[in-house]
Order: sequence, then C-alpha cells, then structure tokens
Amino acid sequence: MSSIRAAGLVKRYGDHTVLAGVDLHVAEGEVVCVIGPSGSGKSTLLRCLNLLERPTEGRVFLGDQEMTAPDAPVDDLRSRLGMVFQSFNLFPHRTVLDNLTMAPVSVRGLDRQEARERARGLLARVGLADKAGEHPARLSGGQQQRVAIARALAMDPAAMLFDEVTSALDPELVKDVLDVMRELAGAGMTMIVVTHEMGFAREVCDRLLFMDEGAIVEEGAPSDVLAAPKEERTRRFLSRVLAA
Amino acid sequence: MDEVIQQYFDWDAARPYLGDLARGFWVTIQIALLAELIALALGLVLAVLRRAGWVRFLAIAYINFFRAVPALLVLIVMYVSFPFLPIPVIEDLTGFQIGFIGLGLVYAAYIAEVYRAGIESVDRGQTEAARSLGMSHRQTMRLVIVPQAVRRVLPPLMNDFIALTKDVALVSVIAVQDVVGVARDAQAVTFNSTTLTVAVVFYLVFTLPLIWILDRIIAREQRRLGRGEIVSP
Repeated sequence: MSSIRAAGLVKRYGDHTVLAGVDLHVAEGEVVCVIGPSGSGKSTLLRCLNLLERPTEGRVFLGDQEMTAPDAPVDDLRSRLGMVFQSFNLFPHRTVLDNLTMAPVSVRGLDRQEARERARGLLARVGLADKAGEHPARLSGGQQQRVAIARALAMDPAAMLFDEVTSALDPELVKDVLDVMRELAGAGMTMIVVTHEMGFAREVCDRLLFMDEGAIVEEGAPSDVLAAPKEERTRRFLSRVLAA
Repeated sequence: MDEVIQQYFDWDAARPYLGDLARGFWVTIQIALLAELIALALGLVLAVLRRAGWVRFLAIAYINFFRAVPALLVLIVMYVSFPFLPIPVIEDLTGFQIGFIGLGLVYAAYIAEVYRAGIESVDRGQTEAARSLGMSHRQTMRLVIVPQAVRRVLPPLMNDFIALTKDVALVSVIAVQDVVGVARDAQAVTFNSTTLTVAVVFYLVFTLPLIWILDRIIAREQRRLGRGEIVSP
C-alpha cells in the first residue's frame, strides 16, 4: 500500500549528473538506511522521492500513485511523506505547538482544537511535552530536531524520509534523536534514513544501501554490508568512516 | 541681521495662520497614512506576484515604471487628466484623493522591492520544510515566508514611510491644502517665511521621533544578532 518505489531516477544539473539511474523499492514497514561519501547523491535521492527536486528522468511511486505523473496531486502526495532535514527548518516565528498544527490545519483542514491535542500527544511521544509554548530558538539542536520529527508525524505520513538528521547536532544530543527514530522504526513506520551513524544503521535498519557517484553500489542486510562489503568502493568508504 | 531673523522667525506674521497650518498638517498626515496603507497592501501583492508564473512580468513592469517616473509627474498627470475621463469615480476624484492614491501607487513599487528583499532573505529550508508537509506554494508564502519576511524588513519599511511622509509635500502642487500648501499661500500674502518655518517644525516633530524609533529598532536587532564592534588590537 504505502511502499515507495523509484525507477530509473536520474538527476542532472546542466552536465553535472548527481543521480545516474537509481532503482529503489522500499516495502511498507521497512527501514532502509543510505550511506555513502558526501556528494554521492544520497540527499538528492531523498529530495527526488518527494519531488522537492524534480528528477530529470525516471518515475517515483507512493503506493500505487505515481508522483511524477504530469497531473499528480503533488502537494497531497507530499503530505503523506514526512521529511526531516539536517538543519531542522522549524518555523522560527511560531511556537513549537504551532509548528505541529500549521500543516494539519491548513492542508488537511483539521479542527484547530483537535490538531492541538494531537500535537501535544506527539510532543509527549518525542519527550518534549513541556516545550509546547516555546519558540524554536529557545530549544537545543536535539530538541529542535525532535520537534521537527513530531511536526512531520503530525501529518500522519505513510513514510518518513530522514536527511542526515543528526549531522548538525552536538554529539551528546544525537542519542535522543536516534532514540525517537528507533521507537518509530519499532512501531512499524516505513523509513528511508540517510545517515552517517553506522551504529544506528547496523542496529535499526532492515536494509543498507551504499551509494557512490549517483548510484547504488551495494545493498544488503546491514550486518553483511558493514562486516563483509563485497565492493571495493564500499570497503574503502567503510574503512575511512570506521577509522575516524 | 534683524531682517534676516525676521524673515524666518516673525511669530506675529505667522500667528493668524497657525490654525490653518495645523489643519494643513493634519491633511499631510492623513494623506501619508492612506498612501502608506495602499503602498503596503499593493506592494505585498506585487512582491508575491513577482515570484509567480507569467504575471511576474506585469509586476516587474509596474515596479520599474513607478521607480523610474517622478512622483510629482504622476500626481500632475492624474490631477490634470482625470476630470476629463468619462469614467465614473475616476472623473470625480478630488485633489486629496488623487494625492494619496498617486503616492500610494508610487510607493507600492518601492515597498514591493523591500518586501522582495525580505522574502529572498528567508532561508530556502523554510520553503522546503513547508512544501514537504504538503503545503501549497500559496500557503507556504502566507503562513511561513511572508510573516518572517515582514518582520525582517520593518526598519526599511519605516524608512520608506518617513520618505513618503516627506513626499506628501508634493500634493501642494495639485492644489491640496497640506501644510506646505498652506504655508506657501500665507507667505505669498505676507512676504514673510515664518509660516514655512512652522511647516518645517511640524515635520520635525513628526518625523524625528520616527527616525529615533527606527534607529532603536535597528540597534536592538544588531544586539539580538550579537553583532558588537569588532575588537581592534
């Protein structure tokens, strides 16, 4: 039902190719982690999946609906794909609670009171029930990122995309965010997680993809890929990351 | 020397006109406020249209036209031509109405550019976050981008309001009795410039506090961003 499928995704900027033909199928409830060197196209892949970037070629499906169809209801499809960004991107002019209710009220037409109640529930779920009235600037990076996750969840998405969500955080704040993601994965959320957290990848995801130069070079069970990479490029990348 | 001082500060010459001058300055303020309302609303519409589809070119044409043509010329053209147009409402516009409408149209172009700078200064991530939640372009602008943009451009908007208030003096040319018009008419009778001095004082009393408030807002903003002086060795 809510699987994500991409076929032959190509993204070019001028004559610079960022994605060189990516096929991907993420089943409902599956958690897929994507690793790879910077510039390998991981983020662009995520952004093509919810059409923040329009792929130059290829097709994207959410369930049985094609997002890349010319007349696709893109806004509606996007609202069913939650996305969390490296730089949080909370709305700084609104309170934490308003950040969570804005889209449900304006896009879904949800009753304001009901949206507030649901938002409070989600804030409790990410451990920030007491921050509802604060402005984002008063929160730590880790707290802001958890609010961003709750904000995406407020739309009741069919799947979630995570774009290096812990890369901008101080090390001691990373765990709280990963814990929330771990809990989500445990609850059966379909997730695509671009990450540098090898521990999280090993422990939480069902399948690990290694990307380089705009293509998926290797994929498999995380324990297999991390412990015994088949491809030379994967080996080189992992030895560099794990040595650090 | 006495004659020099007398020319500008002969209070006896100005006293009979003080009531008219005060009424004239009230006209000035009314025109400034009404024109500002038009400019703020129309300017925002132009700034938003400037970022949308083919209407962008209409918005750009409007903005560039009114930035390029003197406000005085716009007012004169409207004032001398409108009574001859067989268009209801337009043909009956008074000088006062033409004054604030004309200035509003002109300043909408400047203010559109101010809004534009504000809109462009909002981080791209804000748009991406809003769109990824399923919000439309329009909802994103209205709920996320414009509220942040307006807050940021408050100082330049105030600056334009001060400039607009001063440009209200132009309406004296189209027979509106603003403070400058009243002062000139009086001077033409008495051959003494004290009424003009009074007009200057009215303007100073009104605009200097605005300038002062503006400077305070900017200073506070600088502090908030933690930008102090760069320490020199």
